[in-house]
Amino acid sequence: MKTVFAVDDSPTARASIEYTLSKGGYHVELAEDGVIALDKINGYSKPIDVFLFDVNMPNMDGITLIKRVREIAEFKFTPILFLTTESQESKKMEGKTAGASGWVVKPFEPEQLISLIKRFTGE
Amino acid sequence: MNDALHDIYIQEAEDNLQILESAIISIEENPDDKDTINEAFRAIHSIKGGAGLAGFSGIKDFTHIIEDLFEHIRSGVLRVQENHISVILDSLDIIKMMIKNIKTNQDSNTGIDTEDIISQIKKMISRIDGAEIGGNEFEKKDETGISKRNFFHLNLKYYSEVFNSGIDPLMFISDLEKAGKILFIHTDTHEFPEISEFNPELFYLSWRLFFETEISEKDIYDIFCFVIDESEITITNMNSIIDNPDALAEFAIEGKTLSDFIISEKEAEPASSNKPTEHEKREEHRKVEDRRKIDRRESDPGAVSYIRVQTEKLENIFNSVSELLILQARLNMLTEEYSEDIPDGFDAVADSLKNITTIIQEQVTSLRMMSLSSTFDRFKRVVRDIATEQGKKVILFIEGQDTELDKNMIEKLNDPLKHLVRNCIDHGIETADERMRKGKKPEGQLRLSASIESGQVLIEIADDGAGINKEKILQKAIERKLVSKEQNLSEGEILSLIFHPGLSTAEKVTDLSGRGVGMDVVKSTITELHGNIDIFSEDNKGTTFRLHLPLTLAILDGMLVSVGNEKYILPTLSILEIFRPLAEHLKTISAKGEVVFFRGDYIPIIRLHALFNIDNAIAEPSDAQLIVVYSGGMKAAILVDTVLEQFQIVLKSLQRNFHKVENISSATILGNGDVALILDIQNLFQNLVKTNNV
Repeated sequence: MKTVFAVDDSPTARASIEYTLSKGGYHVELAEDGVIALDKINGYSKPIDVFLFDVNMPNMDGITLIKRVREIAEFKFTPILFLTTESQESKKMEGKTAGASGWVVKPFEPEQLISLIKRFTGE
Repeated sequence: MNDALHDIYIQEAEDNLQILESAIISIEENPDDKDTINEAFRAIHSIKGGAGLAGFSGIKDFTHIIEDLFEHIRSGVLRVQENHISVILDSLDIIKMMIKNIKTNQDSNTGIDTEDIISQIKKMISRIDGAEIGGNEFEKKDETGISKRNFFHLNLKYYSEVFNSGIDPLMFISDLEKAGKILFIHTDTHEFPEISEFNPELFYLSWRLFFETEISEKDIYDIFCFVIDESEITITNMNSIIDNPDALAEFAIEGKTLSDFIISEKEAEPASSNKPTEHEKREEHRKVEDRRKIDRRESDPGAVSYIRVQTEKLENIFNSVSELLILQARLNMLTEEYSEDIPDGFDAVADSLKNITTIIQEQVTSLRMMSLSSTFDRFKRVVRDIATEQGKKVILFIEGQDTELDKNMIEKLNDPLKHLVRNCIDHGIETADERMRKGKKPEGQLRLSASIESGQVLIEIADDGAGINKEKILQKAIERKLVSKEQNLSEGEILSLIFHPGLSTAEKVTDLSGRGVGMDVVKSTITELHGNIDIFSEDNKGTTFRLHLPLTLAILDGMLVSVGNEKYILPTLSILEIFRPLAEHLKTISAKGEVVFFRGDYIPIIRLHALFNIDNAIAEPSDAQLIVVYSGGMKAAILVDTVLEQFQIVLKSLQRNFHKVENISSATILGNGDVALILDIQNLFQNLVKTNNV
């Protein structure tokens, strides 16, 4: 089972991501913000296949988190997707520059998210 | 509509509204506070995002426009002005109504007109950037997908560091396969270095291919949008040259032209549609929705890091634990009573059980603890509203909002706190002009603070206003025959008169709030919560209301006392001291009756045996014990035979089964199964004042 590590400060988003992805056959790890996420990622012993970060978060925003995760040797080539909305066009480029692999537009349909993740895991 | 996601959303949205509301008030004060603006943006963004995810499109669409406004504020295009704040606050009220609607399973927009406010916001935004306003962008996504076969020639040469963004270039090939048909593909390995030069972190391949699809050129570009800037990707639409062999030859791959692949394909069935029609999409969407609903009902969404539980369920656990505590106390008594007959080892088991019961009780209590922050935050808006309404300037200081309190108590505290705050602004804090004349800052200061003090919660509401006019109160009280002129009331006693129904009812008329909650109601609510309220007031320095509350409602620390053959419990919260008086400290004064000298002051004695007509009680105070209790700035000494023990009481309200019993607040079951009544100190004091009047 592949592992998706998702970070979002919104409980609704987390619940929805977890629900969707576990239905889709993924193991989901969750964190509420960038700081907690980095902590968890560093201490995580099993492989992580895809990262899914919200852009707007307290403490550490998603863009910074992308940069920080890319700096970890183990995740240099791991797909990192970020969650954004249609109103944040400029964020897409920022995310890309930070090292992201792609984005997910919120709100998303469950199938959309699954197929996007499949796209990056090559399933 | 009753699934978990919706509930989580409602909870989250309410939290975010709270954050927004206080953020906006702070933004009004500091329009350049980037952090708070970001915080507000995040909150509105989450409300919108969550609404989309939870399927509340009405909320999503409405919050979208507010988010736009915030985006303009955040990016610095728009500077926050008074009218923005008002519009945003109004919008929040609308969102609140929408949440209320979905709570009752109605459509979010039922009975709500958003048009006016949307057009106001649009105007604000359009003043900045012309007519381009969000909202239209939904319509932009029209269907260009008239079933049509397109042929493309693609040249895909990625940048060599493509792996660094976590992208596998093969991904794009499979994307294309999903969106159409790759007729022919050639992999170019020319760039591949000598093996000694080979760097596994770089990408050396490129592809050329013919692609047949129904999607448009733009859609193909979209597939590559994340790498297109760095890579050399050319997409050529071949439709126009399909019948021109010379032109086709220019795009040959390995000597083959597009025509080699489409001649056989042309008459075949149209490629199976990857882009469903609008109708199909809607159908599919509905099926997905249905499936989702069924899935949710049938299965566990998997491991969760937390669970939201209805408070009612917590209440039930709490009640069961209360019963457990009573039985535990009974067990303790029995083990003591029959210690001779009990087999070895039983004691140890009983002890362990007692410890576990205590732990369970503490844990269950902690489940209901909530911080006061959301309650306090709400006051930012309340204070702003009241101050504006009164034409006064008030700055609110909040301290100790992390203090935790039983959730049930927090709910009941809202109204009294609101009333006290209102009272401070209405009657305490002066107008800016008056304050200046008095040499004060024009802005009144209101402090709302909470802290834990020796196992109790202390909440203070303090203003730096004019203070309470004691003479006026006393005069009014005498006029209304609440007290007599002869009574020599202490300062505390005079101040506590404002809680007297006879006085505060009259105050209601002058109370601009018109909300009908008088100070007497504040007092009785606090008393109901087994708390105490004190007032401190100094002329022109201000007034402080100090609330002492137990941490929880259901468990009370009490002192068990005996009077004759009866047992009563006094809430420990109200007790100041217990002592046996010296005969020479006892006196009888005409206006106050029987008093005792206590710490430089004479305080009235309340004889419980006389009050409750108990025989065989000790009548001589110097042979008995006096318990000094206080409430609302008043002190009195309660005469009891002996003080038995202090213990935690599981409260059982009497009033569900009985009418309000004078001087008694509730009852509890003792370890031996006897019922003990809990004294209502507040009520005792009121009756004391009455008796003295007569």
